[in-house]
Amino acid sequence: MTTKPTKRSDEHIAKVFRWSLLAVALLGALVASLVLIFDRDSSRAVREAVIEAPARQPKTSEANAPTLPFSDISDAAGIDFQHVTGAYGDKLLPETMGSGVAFFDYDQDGDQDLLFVNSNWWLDHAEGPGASSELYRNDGGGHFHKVTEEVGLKLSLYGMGVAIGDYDNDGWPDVFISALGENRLLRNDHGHFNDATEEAGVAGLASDWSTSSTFFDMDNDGDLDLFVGNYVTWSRKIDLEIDFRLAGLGRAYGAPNHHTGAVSRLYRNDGGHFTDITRSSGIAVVDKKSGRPVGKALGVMPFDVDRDGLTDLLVANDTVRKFLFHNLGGGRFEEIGSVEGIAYASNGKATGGMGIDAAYYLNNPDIGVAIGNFANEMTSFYATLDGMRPFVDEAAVSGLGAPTRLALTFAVLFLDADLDGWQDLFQANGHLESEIARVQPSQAYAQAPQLFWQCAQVDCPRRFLLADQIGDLGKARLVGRGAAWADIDGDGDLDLAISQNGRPGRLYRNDQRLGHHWLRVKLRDAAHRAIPGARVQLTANGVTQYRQVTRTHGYLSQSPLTLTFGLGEADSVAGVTVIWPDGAKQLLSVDGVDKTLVIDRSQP
Amino acid sequence: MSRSSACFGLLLTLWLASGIALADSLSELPVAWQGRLLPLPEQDLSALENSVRQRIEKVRNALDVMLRDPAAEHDEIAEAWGKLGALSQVYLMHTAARIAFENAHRLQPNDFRWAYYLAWVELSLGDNQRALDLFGKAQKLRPDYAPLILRRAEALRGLERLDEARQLYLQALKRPGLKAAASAGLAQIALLQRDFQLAARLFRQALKIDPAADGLHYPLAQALLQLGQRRQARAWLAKPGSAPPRVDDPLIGELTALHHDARQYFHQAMLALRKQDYARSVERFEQGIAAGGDNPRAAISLARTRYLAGDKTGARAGLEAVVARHPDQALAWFLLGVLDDAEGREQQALARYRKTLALEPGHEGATLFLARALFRRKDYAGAAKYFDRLTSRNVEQAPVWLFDLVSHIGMREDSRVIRRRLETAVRKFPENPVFRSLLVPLLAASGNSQDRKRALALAEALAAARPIPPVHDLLARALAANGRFDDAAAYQQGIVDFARKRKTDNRQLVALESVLEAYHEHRSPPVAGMRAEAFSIPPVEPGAVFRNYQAARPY
Repeated sequence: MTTKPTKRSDEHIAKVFRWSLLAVALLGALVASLVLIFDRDSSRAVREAVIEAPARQPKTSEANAPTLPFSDISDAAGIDFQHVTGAYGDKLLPETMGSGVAFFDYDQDGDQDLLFVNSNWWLDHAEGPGASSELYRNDGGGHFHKVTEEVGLKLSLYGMGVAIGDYDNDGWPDVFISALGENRLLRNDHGHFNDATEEAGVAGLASDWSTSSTFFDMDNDGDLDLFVGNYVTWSRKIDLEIDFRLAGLGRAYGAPNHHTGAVSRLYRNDGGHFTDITRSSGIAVVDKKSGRPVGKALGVMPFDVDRDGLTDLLVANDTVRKFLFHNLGGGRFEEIGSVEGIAYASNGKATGGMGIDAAYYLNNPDIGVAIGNFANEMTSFYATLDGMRPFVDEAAVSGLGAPTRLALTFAVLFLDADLDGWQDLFQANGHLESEIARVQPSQAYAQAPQLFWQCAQVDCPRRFLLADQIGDLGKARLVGRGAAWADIDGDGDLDLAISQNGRPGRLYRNDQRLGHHWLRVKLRDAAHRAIPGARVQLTANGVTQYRQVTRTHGYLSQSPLTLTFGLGEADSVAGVTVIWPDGAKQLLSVDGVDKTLVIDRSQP
Repeated sequence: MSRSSACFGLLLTLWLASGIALADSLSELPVAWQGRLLPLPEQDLSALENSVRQRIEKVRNALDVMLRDPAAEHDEIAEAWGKLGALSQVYLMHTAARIAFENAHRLQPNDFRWAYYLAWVELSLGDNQRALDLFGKAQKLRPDYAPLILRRAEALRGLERLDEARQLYLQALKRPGLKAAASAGLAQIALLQRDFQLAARLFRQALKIDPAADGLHYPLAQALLQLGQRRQARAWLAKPGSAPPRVDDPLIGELTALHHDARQYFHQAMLALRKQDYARSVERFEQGIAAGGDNPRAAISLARTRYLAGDKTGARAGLEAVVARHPDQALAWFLLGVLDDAEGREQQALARYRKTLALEPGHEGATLFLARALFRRKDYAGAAKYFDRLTSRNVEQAPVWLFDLVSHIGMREDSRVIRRRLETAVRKFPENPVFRSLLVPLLAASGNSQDRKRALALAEALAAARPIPPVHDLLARALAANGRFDDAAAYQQGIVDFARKRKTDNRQLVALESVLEAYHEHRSPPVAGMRAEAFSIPPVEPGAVFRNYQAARPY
């Protein structure tokens, strides 16, 4: 027998809402009173500014970036991945976005394997068999063998990004692929992948266009939660109806400001099944006037910005303000990008934000957040000073402003390319329009990737220099999109994989010969699982380097959890401190360098 | 020669001849000009309005004639190249603009305008080094042209040469028409160098001179935040914008003046709309329509804006005019339906929603509003048909799923089917308490002990999140269904006490007490079935629809 609810229960539901409203009103009043108490700056009339004598700006260094040759070993290493956009002439926006790349050790044999995500043909315009993402197994020496089919990763979907994480805590890294349409979660069962999307509940909607995503432990409960960035509300019908055209070019790929934004999703891991907590968590940012979603997420970076032990989320949005979701605990977030200074460029405009990365780039508590932007917008470089927020966009004084202005940048990655102990910045560039030069003479479809060497010398603090001796990387003209770093050949330095839009994936081996030492640090919890969210401090030669453990860097892509510390001339390490996600500290002494140090949580 | 090769030769000749006829003398320069000027390939102008296209083609055709005419004056040709460059620049064909200005400059190397515009093209493309070099050359031709100071400062700032930029901004501060922009430039440098006090003062100074420069609100707010003045900062953050400070630059003014087309007015109309400046938006839409001629999409947007500006009659008349002239405009039919619906003309509204769907079967707005209208008429089967269409598209709006469910209840569908629908909604909206609240009584009344346990688990979770009387009522019922009558009674007692304290009317109090009595007597209280009639759909509010309903192309 089934009994239906009473009318009274309907009334009760109405009461529930009334009570909720009352609670919200009370909370609002409380917050307002707190604001009034703590924010008592007085209003002052505008006075004529007195301009002092010019303050000295930091002296530009005479130093040059070292020679950092990266060799294109794609063919020799067995990488034959070809990205398919499906472009057939209608110029549909998804065809421009490319897809991601990931280094991860899928078979747990100790080296980094390589996954390129693929997009696809449009169903009614297929020019070949369904395009698949490809997984390449590393033989340990930097040679790769395609294993896609045998490990169960042969997928045909309009793929975008990838997130790697051991969501079921079985010690094997799982793969989440975001897509135009429903996303997929592939559970890694001892080196073979099985589709776990439905049981995990993370497909999203068929109408979603998901981009960068990240596994992170938002509540420090030991399992990985999942953030999935969504770009815009898109359909082919809308795209064709907009019929975007560029004068001088005709039909062209439209800018995202012609499309409504989309709400990204946050899934809480409830023991292998995920619960969508987007609404209650505060991740859904909507315009107060129109009620429409604000976000147009392309990049995400999990980073504990305020070092309170809870991982926050930085989200790069395209043509609308960037978000900083401050993790309040309990699965709740507050978007504070504007008051923390990362929402807009310094001219008040929202940039075309693509990829994002963050680092303690100065080897102190100061954070640098790099965001790749559209052409004629310099790379944003939001930095703190003396560890204090809000951020200030320092691109125009850091050496990144002028050289990045013309590039259309997707991936941005911090990595210590020369192992000198200071993190450098790499960016993958490439335009959307193959014929852009016809209307913009300073632009090209394929563009040079850029490596900015951090000049940490006394006379050039907080500055990056464009490295011009970077081997094949410098000669390359790529339609760059995603990028990831890893040491593929075990020589200590970090190599680069770059995905292109509609072109082959590339693999560049770092062939620097500077003789710098290094230490690789791999963290494992008591169950020997790699858990992101920890912070590591390493001191060598009187300098302490700070790192946060995450796989998510750049655009649609993932790099290993293992940390690589360059040591420069130092041939010993004074100590390593690990701050685990639960706040516990572990101090270690280290014998020797140029090796991988595995730190177990259980280790005293 | 064979017949086929003769045909081929003829075809080749015709093809070559047609090619020669198609290429104008700008793209294939006459011999006399080769090496002296740069060729300018023909441009795809399909993105431009007819009037703009015609303006560009007219200049191009005139140039074509002049280039073929050996007697044409160089100055005239230079002027024509300059005009073509200007038009190309304002319509963002920068490559063409660069070529055209370069040609004008080659013909009149001492004319400041062409040198300046060449530099301007580079500045607008972000190539600051080229821009700086070219502004330097221009300066030699006319060192007294004040805006040059500011332009060079901008290029230098883009090149991170801040000391040099600062010196020029300081010079520009002394020129009245440049003062706001110079203050802002200096403020940006101060911000970069973390002299927040100075930055704030300079931004305020710039805003005092040019209050419309709302692009300065954000950096000013950032300076204030750094100074700890959070309340003031938030006030500026609440007024975001992107307009730069005004610069009195006659030559750039001439360029900007060339940019007049309907699209420009529509763009301004949309900006005003976003700022809820409806009167201005109406004005701009009207100007755009006047400039560009018949444009049903813009006419619909104008009608929507008129409604938002308070001119309901004008809005209706505008939409009626659109459907009379363009009966295929689904959005206009839908909006008319919404107006009819709000004004109580139910039959007409239904007809117009149906007309919309006939033109565009997937129209979400018409589907939703038709479903709502039918629900209000208690035509639950009709409403369910259209709500089903929306839920089958997996729409995100929880109320659609709720009223779909209620419509099916109204159809007296089998309780198992209702429960299945409810379970789907719970899965889709795991955070939404309404669906779980509706599910609890269903499960609690089930003969299956697993269902009753689940009812209790759901009710406990709801109560943990919202410990309020209505949820406690659900929890008490779930407890009673699981035989825990004493616990149920304890919760119900709390509800009764609360009702007494709130002086709830006597009839309701008696009902609550009778439930309490049932728990004391270890029996579950009676549960009445959920009735569709208990739910009502809020009235149509055209303002929200006119403001928020998305048009893929608003003009």
